[in-house]
Amino acid sequence: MLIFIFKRIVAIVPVMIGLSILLFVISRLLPGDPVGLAAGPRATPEQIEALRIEFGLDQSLPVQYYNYIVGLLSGDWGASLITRRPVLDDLRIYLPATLELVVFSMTLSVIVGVFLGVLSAVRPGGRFDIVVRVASLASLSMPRFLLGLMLQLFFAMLLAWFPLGGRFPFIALPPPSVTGFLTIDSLLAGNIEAFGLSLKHLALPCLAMALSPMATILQLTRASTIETLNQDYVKTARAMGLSQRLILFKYVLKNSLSATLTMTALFVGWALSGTVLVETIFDWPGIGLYATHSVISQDFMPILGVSIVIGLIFIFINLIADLLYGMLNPKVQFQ
Amino acid sequence: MSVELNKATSAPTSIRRQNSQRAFYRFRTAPLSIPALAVVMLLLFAVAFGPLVAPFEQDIYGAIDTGSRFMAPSLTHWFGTNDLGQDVLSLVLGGARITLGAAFTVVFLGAVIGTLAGACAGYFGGFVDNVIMRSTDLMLILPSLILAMLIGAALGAGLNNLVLALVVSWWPSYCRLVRGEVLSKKEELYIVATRALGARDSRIILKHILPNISQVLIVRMSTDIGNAILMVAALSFIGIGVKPPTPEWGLLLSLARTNLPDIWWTAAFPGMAIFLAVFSISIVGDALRGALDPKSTRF
Repeated sequence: MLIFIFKRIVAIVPVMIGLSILLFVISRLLPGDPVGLAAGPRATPEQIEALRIEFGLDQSLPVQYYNYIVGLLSGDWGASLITRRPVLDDLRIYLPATLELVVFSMTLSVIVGVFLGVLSAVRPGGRFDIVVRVASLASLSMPRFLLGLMLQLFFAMLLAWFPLGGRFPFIALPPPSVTGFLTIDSLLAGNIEAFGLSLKHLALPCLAMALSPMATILQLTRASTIETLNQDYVKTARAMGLSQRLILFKYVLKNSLSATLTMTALFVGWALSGTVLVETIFDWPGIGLYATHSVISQDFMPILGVSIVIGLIFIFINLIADLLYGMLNPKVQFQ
Repeated sequence: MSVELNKATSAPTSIRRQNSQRAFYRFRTAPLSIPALAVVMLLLFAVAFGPLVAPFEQDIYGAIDTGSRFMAPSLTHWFGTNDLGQDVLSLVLGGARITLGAAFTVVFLGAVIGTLAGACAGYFGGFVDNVIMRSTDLMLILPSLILAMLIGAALGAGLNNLVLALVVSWWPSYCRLVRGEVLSKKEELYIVATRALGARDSRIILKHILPNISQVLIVRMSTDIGNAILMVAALSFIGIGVKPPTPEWGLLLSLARTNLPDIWWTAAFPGMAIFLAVFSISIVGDALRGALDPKSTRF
């Protein structure tokens, strides 16, 4: 087992190198001039030349790549053009907000998706199954930004049940930052009011993010549950007179869940890219909104920084999925 | 003798016809497939003739009429007018060509590049395979929206750059699909026989292998167009991609946000167009998969 884990961890090293090469190539070799991008649209030729030397772009590509990697490792991720703040500092502030959103929405989509998936597998083609399947296809076709807008329109503007956007009211005092998750921080501080406020702000963006992974998890769980339900041991359990609920949630779910669980880890990666849209709509101060703002002001370094973070999380999540799969299915380890 | 020979040659055609009849039956009986097909036809009509049937054609190209701002849906303006007095119906009709056109282009180019690369990787193997597959690995490290956003940001705004950014993140999945199919096909007897007859590699790939995997490709492309529409609209929505006055659906939706909730129609109709397009195309794609490949399970 330890050897397996060690091997998987070593295997991400080439992937990390791959990520750095990809980002390096995009930032240096595309027709868009990196110096022009960094200097901004109103720079003079002299300024651009000075920046070219400052960035080390007069050197050969391998040297540039080496400098780039050393910069990344030593924490120099460039600075924003507009605010002149180091990108890494900005990311430290914005990342917890995004992670909070992702964690809450993924939890919601796994719980609801698995539950509905199992229920709809009980009678494939039945009325409940058809309703759930059409609804899940509909929510997969629903763009996240459209769903977000609709939620905002109904629940924030018309009904005023939830706030329009943001993470916490401007006038209220947020709890002292410990984990960076406002919900957990307010609980740690024993501030129930702040906890309620942060949950209220979290509700709509979380729902907007959760719906499409929920639909996919539902479909996966449904398919694997139908498969498991046809196995002999389920028939035996039925013949022995066990109740439907016991069979479903004690015996079938455990076996049909392993595929879903590993796929779920991969959804976290997709969810991360979904945050860009959802955060933009709900003004959620995470890395997605940061990236969008930078795109609009043609600020390239922050977008590069966000891509690095998302790439790293993506690689890490894949590693966890791999390890989980290995633990749930020991056959994998021998391959 | 001649009668028997006739029988032998006519048998395959009748089987083929039977197969296509069965496929059509399976398509027809898939849930919602016929209404969805009707919507898809309507969308294709809008792509082809959208500007011609639009009631206020000049609005599509950025004409402004401040006298008729924010008019609610009525008989003259079925979908109402926006903050610039433009007819929303005309914008949505004109936008079909842009959003759907961009999405079709992305899927088509992605499929062509991916297919060629994947076919080469699978067929030649060895070094070629390694180089091509490692570069797809590179592309798949980042989620495709982020990759497209990064490339789009580096290239700058514009419809062509948007399409280019999406194609770059689109081809790897086709490449992997085709490579797998080619690997399984190239060992089959008829390919070995063709090679023994002295056919060139390019002929074997183009004339013998690709036609045999075209069905898988068509199904994949038809289900993929929905994703491409979502991506195009999403990138425009967040400000990469097209700029006003181009009536791209995602951009229309993004511009309409500031006037919600009172002026609901400027957001509702472009939003509905995106949803209907993606929903109906994914239902048709799903029905097509069920019809062409009965072994695959629905969803």
